[in-house]
Amino acid sequence: MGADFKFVHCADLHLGCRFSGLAAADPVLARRLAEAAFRSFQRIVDLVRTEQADFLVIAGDIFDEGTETPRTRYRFAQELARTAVPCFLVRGNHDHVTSWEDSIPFPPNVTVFGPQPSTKTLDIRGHPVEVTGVSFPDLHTKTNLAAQLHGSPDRYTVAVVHCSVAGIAGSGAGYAPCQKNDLLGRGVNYWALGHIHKRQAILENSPWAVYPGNIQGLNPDETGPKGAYLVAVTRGQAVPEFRATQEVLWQNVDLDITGKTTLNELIDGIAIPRDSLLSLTVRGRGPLDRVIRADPAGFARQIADASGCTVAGPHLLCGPDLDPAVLMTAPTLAGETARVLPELQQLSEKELADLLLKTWKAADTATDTLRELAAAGRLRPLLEDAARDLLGRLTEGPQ
Amino acid sequence: MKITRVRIGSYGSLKDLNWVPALGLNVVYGPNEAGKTTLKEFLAGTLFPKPAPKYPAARNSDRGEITVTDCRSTAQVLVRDGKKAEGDGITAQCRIGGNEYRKIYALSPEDLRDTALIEKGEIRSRFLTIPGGNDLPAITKELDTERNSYLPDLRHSRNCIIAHDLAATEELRRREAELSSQDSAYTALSAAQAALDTREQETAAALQKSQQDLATARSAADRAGIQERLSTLQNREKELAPVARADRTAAATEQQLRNAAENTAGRAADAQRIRDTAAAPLTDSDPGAVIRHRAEIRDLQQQGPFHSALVRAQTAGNKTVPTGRGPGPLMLAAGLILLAVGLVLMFTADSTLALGLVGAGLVVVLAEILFLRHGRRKTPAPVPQDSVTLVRLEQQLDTVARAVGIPRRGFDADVECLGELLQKADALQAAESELAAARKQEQEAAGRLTLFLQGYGGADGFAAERKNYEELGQVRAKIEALSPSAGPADPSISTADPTAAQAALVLAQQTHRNAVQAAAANRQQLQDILGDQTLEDAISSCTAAEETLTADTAAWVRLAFEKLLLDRACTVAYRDHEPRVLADADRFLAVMTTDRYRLSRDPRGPTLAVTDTSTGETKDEKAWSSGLGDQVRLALKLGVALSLSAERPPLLLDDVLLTSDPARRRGAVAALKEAAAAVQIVYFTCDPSTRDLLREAGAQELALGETI
Repeated sequence: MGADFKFVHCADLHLGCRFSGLAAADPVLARRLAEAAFRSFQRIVDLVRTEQADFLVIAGDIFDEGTETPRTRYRFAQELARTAVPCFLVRGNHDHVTSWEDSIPFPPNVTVFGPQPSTKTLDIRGHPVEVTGVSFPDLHTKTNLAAQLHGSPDRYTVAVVHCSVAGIAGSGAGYAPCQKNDLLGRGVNYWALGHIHKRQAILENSPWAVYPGNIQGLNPDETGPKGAYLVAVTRGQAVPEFRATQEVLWQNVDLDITGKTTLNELIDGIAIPRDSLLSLTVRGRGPLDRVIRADPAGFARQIADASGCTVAGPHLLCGPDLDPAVLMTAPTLAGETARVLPELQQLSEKELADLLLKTWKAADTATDTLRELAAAGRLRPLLEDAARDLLGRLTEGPQ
Repeated sequence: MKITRVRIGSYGSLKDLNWVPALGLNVVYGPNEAGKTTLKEFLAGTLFPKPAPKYPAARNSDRGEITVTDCRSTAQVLVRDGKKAEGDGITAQCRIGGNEYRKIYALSPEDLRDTALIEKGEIRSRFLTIPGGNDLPAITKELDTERNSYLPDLRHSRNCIIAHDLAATEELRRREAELSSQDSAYTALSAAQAALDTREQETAAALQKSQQDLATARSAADRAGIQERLSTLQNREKELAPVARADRTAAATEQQLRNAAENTAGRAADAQRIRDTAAAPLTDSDPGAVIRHRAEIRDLQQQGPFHSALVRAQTAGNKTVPTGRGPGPLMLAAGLILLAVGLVLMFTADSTLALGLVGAGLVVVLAEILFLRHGRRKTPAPVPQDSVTLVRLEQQLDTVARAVGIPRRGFDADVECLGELLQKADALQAAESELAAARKQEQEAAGRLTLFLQGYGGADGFAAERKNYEELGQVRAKIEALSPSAGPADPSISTADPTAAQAALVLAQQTHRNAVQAAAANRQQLQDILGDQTLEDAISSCTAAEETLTADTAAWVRLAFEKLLLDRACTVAYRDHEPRVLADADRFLAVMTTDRYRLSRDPRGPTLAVTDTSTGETKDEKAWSSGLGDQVRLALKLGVALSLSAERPPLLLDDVLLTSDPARRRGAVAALKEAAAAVQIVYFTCDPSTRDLLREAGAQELALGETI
C-alpha cells in the first residue's frame, strides 16, 4: 500500500460510433463527428503521457457494433502503444471478438482481461500494485461479473469491470448486474467501472467505485463535458480527478414559447459557446407552437445561424395556448381529442406498434423501424406530440 | 313561421287571389304561365323583400298581403303595395337574409343543385361540422396528405418518403457490407503477409547463396586463370633470370661510370678550352721556345734592373748601384709580438698600456705589409761590374727573342714582353698539363665504362639487359601480386562452372524479385485497406440514412396517431354533437330512397357522400347520377331548412322534382310529407302526376289557371 502512483480510468469509448439524432447532411461535419470519439481518446492518451501515469484502464465498450474496422482497431492499437505504459482492457456488451484479433494485434503493453477473472501485478517503484479484471463472456451476459473479482489485502488493487450497478440510471438492459454491496469487502480499493454513460462515483473511499462516463457524448441526452479520470493514489488513498477530453460538447438548450409571439423573442439571448452541439427542446404554450411546427428544420437552422452551433432537434414539447383543465371539459372537437387521448395513453409501446400495423397494412413496409421505435420507448412520446400537434391544428387552423 | 293567408290584388298575372294554405304540405298546380312562379315570387319577395325579386317586373299596381304566424302563434301581416314590399318582411324574426331564403327555402330546380352556400359558406360551419371542427375537412386533408406522403394508407408504394428511405438505407447497408467484406480480406492478407515475408527472406537467403556460389565459381575460374598466368610469368621469369645481373647496382655502376666518363670528358673539354684560351695569345710566338728559355727569361728579368742601372751608369759613368736592405721579416715579427702582448694586457692588466702596445704592433705590421705590397724592398741581385755583362744580357735577350719570335724593341720592353710570354707560356703549359691530365682521366673513365659495358656485350647489350631486368621486375611483381590469389588448389571447386552459377543466380534474382514484389504488393494492399476511409464514410452515410428513416417513420407515426386521435374524437364528438341538419338530411334521403341511400355523415369530408346500403359503397358527388344528386341535395336542403332558422319559414319549391323519374318523385314526395310536419311546404308544379302524388301525401291543392 505504500506506493504513490497515478493511473487514468476511462470507459465506453465507442470509437467510430456515429452521432444519433443528428443526421448530418454536411459531409465535413459528418466526418468530424465520426472522428470525435477518437479525438477524445487521443487526448486521454496525451493525459497519460503528460501526467506520467503509471498505467491506463479501459472498462469496456471500446468500439460499437459495426464500427470496429481494421482502421479503427489499428488506430486504437497505435494509441495504446503511444501511451508507453501498461494498458488494461475489459470487453463490454458492445465489444465483439473480431477477426482483427490476430491480424492487428494489440501492442505488448496491453493486457485484455478474458472472460475468466485474472490479475496482473505491477511493480511500481518497488511497490506491488494489482490490476484485476474480467470481460463479458458474451454480449448479453447477466452474470454478476463484479462478484468474481477480489484483491489482495496487502496491496493496492484496481478492479476493472463493465457492469450495471443496480439502482443507477442508465443501466439499460441490466447486463452484468450487481449490487452496490457486491463492491464492498472484496479487497478492491478502486472499482474502475464502465457501462453507464453518465459520470458518477457510486462509492467514495474504501473503496472508490467510479463510472467515468463515456468519453464523447453521442446523442442529445449525453450533454456536458465528457472524458476520463486521473486517479492519484498517495499512501493508499485515491483522489480521482475528472479531466474533460471531449471533441464536441453537447449543450442543452430549452426554449419556452409561453408569452412569446415572435421567433426573435425566442432566439435572442441564447448564449452558448460556438461550435457546440445543441440539444434543442421547445416547451411552453403559445402561438409560436404552430409557427415552429410548420417548419421545425427551418427553426433549427435559425438557431444554428444565430448561435454558430450545430443543432440537433428541435425536440418539440410545446403546444397551443390551451388550458388543459378547460380543454378537458370543452364541448368541442379539441376537447374531445383531449378526452380520447387517455385511451391511447394506456397502451404499451408494443400495443401502440400493433395498433399502427393493424390500422395501416401498408405500414408493414416499416415494421422493423416501428418495432425499434417501440423498443426504444419512443412511441408514447410520439403519441403525446401527436396530441399537441393535433390540438394546435384544431384550435389554430391548418398550416 | 307559417303563411296563414295570401291575398293578392294584383301581382304579375295574378289578380284577386285569396288563398288559405295548409300549415303543412301544399301543392299549387296549374299549367305553364298559370302564375305559379309568380305566386312563388310574390310569397318570397313579400316574406323577404331584399333582394327584390326580378320576376315578375315590379309594378306600381302590385298589391297584396300575406298573413304569417310565427312559432309563438303571433300573427303578422306583410303588405306589398306598389313595387316594394313594406318593411323587411320576416327577415328579423327568421334571422336569415333573402339570399339564404332563396338558396335554401325558395327553390327552383337550379337552386336545388346549387349547394355552394351549404358547402362553403356559414351554413356549413354552423350546421355541417361539430363544434370547433370548422377546419376539420382542411385539417383532415392536410393530415392525410402528409401521412400518405410518408406511407400511403391503402397500398404499398415505392414512391413515398419511407419507401425511398428504405431503399436508400438498404443500398447503403449493402454498400457497407460490400466494403466491409473487402475489409475482411485484411485477415487473409495479414496471414498471407507473414508467409510472403518468410518467402522473401528465404529467397533472399537463396539469392545470397547463389551469389556466393557464383563468386566461388568465379573465384575458382579466376584462380585457374591466375594460375595459368602465374605459370606464364614464372616461365618468363626463368627466361629473364640471367639478366638479374643487370640489376640496379649494375645500373648504378654503369651510371656512375658514364657520369665519370662524361665528367672527365667535360673537364677535358674545359681543359681544352683553357688550353686553347691560353694558347690564343701565343699564336705569334713559339710557346715551346718560351718555355725552353724560361731560365734565360727569368735571368733577364732579374737582370733587368741591373741592366737599367748599367745603362744609367754607363751613361752617367756610375758603376755602382746602390742597394738597400730593410729589416723585412724582423720588423714584421716585432710588430706581431707587440700586438700579442698588448692583447694579453688588455684582458689582464692596465688597459691603457695594452691599448698602446696593440697600436704600436698594428702600425709596425701594417707598415711591413705596405712595404711588401709596393715592392720597395727588394733583394737586389748581384750587380755586374762591366759592359760585358751588358752585352751578354743583350745577346741573351736577342737569342731568346729570336727563339721566341718577338721583335726587338728594347731591353726592358722585350724583357717585359718575354716575362708576359713566359707567364702565358707557363699558363699554356699548365693548361696543357691540365689538359693532358684531363684527357688521361677521360680516357681512363671511358675505358672503365667500355670495360664495364663489354661485360654486357656493349652499351646496347647493357641497355637490352636493363630493359629485360625491368621486365623481370614487373614479372616478379605480377607473380607476387597473383600468388595470393592463386591460393591452394581446392578439388571441390575445381569443377565449378561459373556459367551455370550465373544462370542459377539470375534465376535466384528473379525468384527473389518476385517474392519482394509479392510481399510489397500484399503490404500495399494492407496499407490501402488501412488508409481507405471509404467504409467509414459508408458507415456514416448508412447511419445518417438510418437516422433519416427513423425520423421519417417517427413523423409518420405521429401523423398516424393524429389520425387515430382525430377519428376517435370525431366518432365520439359526432355521436354526442351530431349535426341535426345531417341527421335530418339523412332521414329525408332514407325516406326518398326507401333506405337504399344514407347520407355519409362524416364532417371531415370536403364534399357530401352517400352510402349505398345495398352494397356498402360510398359515393361522392362525382359518382352520383343526376337523379341521386337531386335527391341528396333536396334532402340536404330540407335538413338545413329545418335548422337554419328557428322560425322555419315556409319552403317554396318550384317543381324541383320535374326531372325526377316517378320512383324518385314518389320518394321525394314522401320526404316532403315528413318534412311538412315541421315546416310549411308549398310545392308548385305543372305536372299532374306530381300533383297527384302530393295530394296522396295529404297536400292541400291550389289550382291556378282556374277561376278562384
